[in-house]
Amino acid sequence: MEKVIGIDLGTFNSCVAVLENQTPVVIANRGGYKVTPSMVAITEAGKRLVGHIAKRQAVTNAENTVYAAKRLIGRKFDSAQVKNSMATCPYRIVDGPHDDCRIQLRDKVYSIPEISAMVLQEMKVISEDYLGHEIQKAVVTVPAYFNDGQRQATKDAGAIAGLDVIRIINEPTAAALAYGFGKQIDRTVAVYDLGGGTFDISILEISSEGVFKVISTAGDTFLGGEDFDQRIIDWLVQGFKEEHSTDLRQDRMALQRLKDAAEKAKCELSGVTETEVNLPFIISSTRNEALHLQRLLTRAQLEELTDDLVARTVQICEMTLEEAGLDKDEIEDVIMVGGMTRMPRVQAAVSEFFEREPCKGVHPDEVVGLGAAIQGSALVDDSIDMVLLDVTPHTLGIMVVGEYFEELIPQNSTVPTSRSKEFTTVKDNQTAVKIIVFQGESRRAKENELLGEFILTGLRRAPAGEVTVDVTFEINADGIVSVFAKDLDTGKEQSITVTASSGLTEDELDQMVEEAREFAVARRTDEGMEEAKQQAETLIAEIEKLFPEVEQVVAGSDFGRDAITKARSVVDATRELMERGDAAGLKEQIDALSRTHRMFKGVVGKAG
Amino acid sequence: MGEVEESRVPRLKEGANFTSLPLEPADGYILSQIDGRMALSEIGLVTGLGEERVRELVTKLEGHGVIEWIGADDGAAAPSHEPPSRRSGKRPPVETLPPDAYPKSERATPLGAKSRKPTKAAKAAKAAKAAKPAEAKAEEPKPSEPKVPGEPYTLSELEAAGADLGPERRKAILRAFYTMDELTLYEVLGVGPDDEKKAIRTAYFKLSKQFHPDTMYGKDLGAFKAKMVAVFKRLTEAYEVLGKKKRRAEYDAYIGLRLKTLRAEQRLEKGKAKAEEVAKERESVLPPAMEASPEIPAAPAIPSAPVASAAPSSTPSSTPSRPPSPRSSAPTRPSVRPSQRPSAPSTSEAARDTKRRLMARKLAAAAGRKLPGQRRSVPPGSRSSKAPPGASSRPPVDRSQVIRGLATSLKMSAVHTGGVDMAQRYVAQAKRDEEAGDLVSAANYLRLATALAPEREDVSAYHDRVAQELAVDLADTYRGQAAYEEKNGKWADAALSWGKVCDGRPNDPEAHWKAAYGLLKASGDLSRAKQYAQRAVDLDGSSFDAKKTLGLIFHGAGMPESARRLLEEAKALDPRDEMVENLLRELT
Repeated sequence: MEKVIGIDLGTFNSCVAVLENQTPVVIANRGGYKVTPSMVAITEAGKRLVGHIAKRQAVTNAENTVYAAKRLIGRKFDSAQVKNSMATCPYRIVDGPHDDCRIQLRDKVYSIPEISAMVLQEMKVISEDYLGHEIQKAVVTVPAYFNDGQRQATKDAGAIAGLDVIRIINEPTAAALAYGFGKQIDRTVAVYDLGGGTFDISILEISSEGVFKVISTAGDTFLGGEDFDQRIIDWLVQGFKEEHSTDLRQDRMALQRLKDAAEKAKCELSGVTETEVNLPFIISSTRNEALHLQRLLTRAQLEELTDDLVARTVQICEMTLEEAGLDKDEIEDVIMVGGMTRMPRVQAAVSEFFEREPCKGVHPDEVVGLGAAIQGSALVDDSIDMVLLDVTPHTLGIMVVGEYFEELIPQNSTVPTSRSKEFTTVKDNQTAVKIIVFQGESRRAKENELLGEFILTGLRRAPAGEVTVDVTFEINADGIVSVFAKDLDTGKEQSITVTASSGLTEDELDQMVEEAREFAVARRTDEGMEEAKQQAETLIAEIEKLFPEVEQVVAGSDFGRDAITKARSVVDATRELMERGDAAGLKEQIDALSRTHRMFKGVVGKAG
Repeated sequence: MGEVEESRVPRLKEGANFTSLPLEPADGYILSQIDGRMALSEIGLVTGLGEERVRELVTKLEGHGVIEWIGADDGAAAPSHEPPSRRSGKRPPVETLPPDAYPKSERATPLGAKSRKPTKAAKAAKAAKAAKPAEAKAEEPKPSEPKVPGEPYTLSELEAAGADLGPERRKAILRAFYTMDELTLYEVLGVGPDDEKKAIRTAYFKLSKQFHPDTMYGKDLGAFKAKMVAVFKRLTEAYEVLGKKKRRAEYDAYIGLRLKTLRAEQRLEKGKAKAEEVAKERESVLPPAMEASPEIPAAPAIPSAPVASAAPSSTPSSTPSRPPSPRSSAPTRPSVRPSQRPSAPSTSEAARDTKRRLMARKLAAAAGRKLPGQRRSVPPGSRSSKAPPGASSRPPVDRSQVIRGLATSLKMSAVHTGGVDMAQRYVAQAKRDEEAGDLVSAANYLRLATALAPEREDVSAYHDRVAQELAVDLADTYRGQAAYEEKNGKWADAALSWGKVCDGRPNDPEAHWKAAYGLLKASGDLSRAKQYAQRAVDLDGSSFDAKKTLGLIFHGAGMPESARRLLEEAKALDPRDEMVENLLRELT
């Protein structure tokens, strides 16, 4: 049976899992971590870094380190969300060729799916290392509230990474799968998922027959842990400004440090009631004095700062319950997912609202990945007796006269589903109708997301209203939307399978898949020398720095000249090995490099 | 509803004494019809009272100990007819409601299970619809191909490509696919109307595991995939409604209303048919037959069943309103010339055909056995009048003409002199029904009375008044029905229901514009829609909705000038409506 991995592609962290002997397990990365930061960086040398290594160098390479790319995926460049990210992110977001947004890292512009693909590829490699064979299929999770474009872009990212994404499922749904899988329970549960970037709430029914049915799902793609961080940052910046009349926002480096400190403080306050934010030498004053940031933040203060955010999540919960036609007391368990649910205030608000203690049995960071792995296996493996009845998260419809949005498939419809409606022409002798497909909840078509359009031609010439066109929407179990239009007089048919624009054309996608494949090959041979290279680069940098001083100290002595020449040759040889990509040679060379480094330091130390 | 009554038929107990019982005319009427052959449903059909009322009455009679139950096939002339019915059961109920009109009390078989009887024959249209977007289309069976015996599908469908499906699964999919549309939502899930949510959920989930396409992910399903999807959608529809308290209550209320209006309509329909028949019968025996001699034998082609069946005079009733027996009212208009009888109406409906066949059978049966009534105080005339030996087939010429002549004359006398008297009795019954709140029954009795005595203007006025009251009463039920239909996007149904509301409340502007709007939404008859909307505008010139609807209809009908005029008037009434605003912009 072919293995299908489950990937939780998170805003800030990603996680990969697989089903082994009917039990889902999370696969740790080489560093032993079960989650991998969804971060990608390009070093000065043009090297691609993904995961922890990218995160570690983020402070010094902020402009070329991408985080939270998920917030941008499938979004238009001129959307409010992208503008918002542009204002807060240190990396450069640029206008893409198809109204999409792209990211410029050093001298290359990357599409968002390409960035996500780097993370997915990392997850693929992690699982392949663990399983010892190649992996081709994956189930990837997305926030429940992702629209078709965002889902499509996520699928594209999978394709670029060399993965066949056989199903996209919603994060809260995946969490519920992990919670209920193999448990033989009949329960109606709510999944409260407050992650780094998004908030989702889903109501599901779990049955002992192994059926999971999503009843209702809702959320906010721009409400997550980062917003909590931002509140802390604002508070710190404001306080600093009052104290020193200096705006920390002007300094990108300072901002990055603030971000890290805010996140750290937030996490700490889940365990303790107060914490100190201590950032020495954060900025220089106008008089070139070094300024330090040092402030005490209490849990109560944090709760006050973020009170409205928590309230908003509760409000969305309430709406979702109403949508599901359920009373609070019909919810038999509440599953908490996402790192933010560790915050005591969030837990309190949730238990207060649902009038019950949330379930403690799941690991908020891993549960989504586990669920994805379960769904992946359930699809391909007949021995797994489970079926997921998922819903469509957004209303689908077409634009009708007056630019109205005429709903065809309402949100939260269980898929597969289909609906038909009849429409008529609006003008005399109209021989064609344009079917413009939208997705969203606004009555005005244009406020919704455009999914696609096509024209049904060759209609009979007749007075307005006489020609009837039957429009059918269909969503299959894979969530693929198809639209059929039929002229009821002539029987003429037109249809499209709506492939929401992910911001990439098919050609572009092919090219990226190709590039990534080459990269993957290069990468595999590279694998062993990744660390060595990093190490070598660091050593060379240090040695080069010491050269002038050493030259000064040893000048005049033959020994000194010899030593310097030797050191130069060692460095040059190392560079050559690095360029050749000779991992074994480089590893040996590092010894020599280290010796040189130690010697240089010794020389300088003696002199000093 | 006892199982016994479904499969058995009532018979009068031998030797039972009726005279001492406190019976009412309706009881007697039913008693006269019980012949040990007809099931309750058939008696309901013959009498026009409907199965339910008959059941009530029979239960009462049973309580008096004069009824016993026998197996349906015990009698000599077992029923072999098949009244038009959607179900193919041996004894279909008279109330042939569309199956989704009400929940069955008994637990239905889940979708796809074998026991469900194949129902409608050709469903090519439906199959095509379900398969529209899917690959199934190319493999639709030719309409001419016969079905697999006992199943709703053809062999080529069963054996169509879909290599990864076993034969049982294939059968289950096809069975479910071809039966699901006719079932109530309860039946779709195989649950009872009183089942709790948990049972409904379990049923849905179990079936989902059978029909959700993910259960066969990546498998070769051929045309079965589209069918699985179609079945799953229907299951989901049922669960979405029945699984939610509010929607289920709405659905229950809705089918309750539908049942009420449907039953009322059907009872009225039967009452009408019966009244028409009575009127026809009456015409056929009246003046033109005057010159006929009693010696000429009556033609048996059309048994005089309706007359006899409408005559409670044959009952052993002890009520004072008991009509004079035909024997005491000697034939004043002795006979009829058969050749002048109108031939059987060519437009006879299936129901009436059935009735005839029933009567014929009944007569044959009556001729062949001793009537229990003969031993009691039942006037023999009424019985014998409709049961001349061999009445249901061409009588042998050598039969005693005297006997036949007598029978005929007795019958005619019952028709005529009894007729007027009967009319009076029906009016009395109608009054009682009206007081009891059963307007349908009252209207039916009055219609009968009118048919029997068309010259009585007071009767027809009374009929018109009750009919109007009934229409108003039904209108309110239809209003509730329409509201549900509108809410659930069943515009064609909503338009029909609103149309019914308009019948009862011809001065209700809302009902009219809503009927029009329903037609518009359902892409129905625009000229009819226009009439409704125009009427609504006439009734209430200040109704924004009426004017907007009429405007939309004009627009839809390609009459931009009229549309603009109406929409402008609508806009004057409510300038905030965006749709009107936009349409106007487009029209100018």
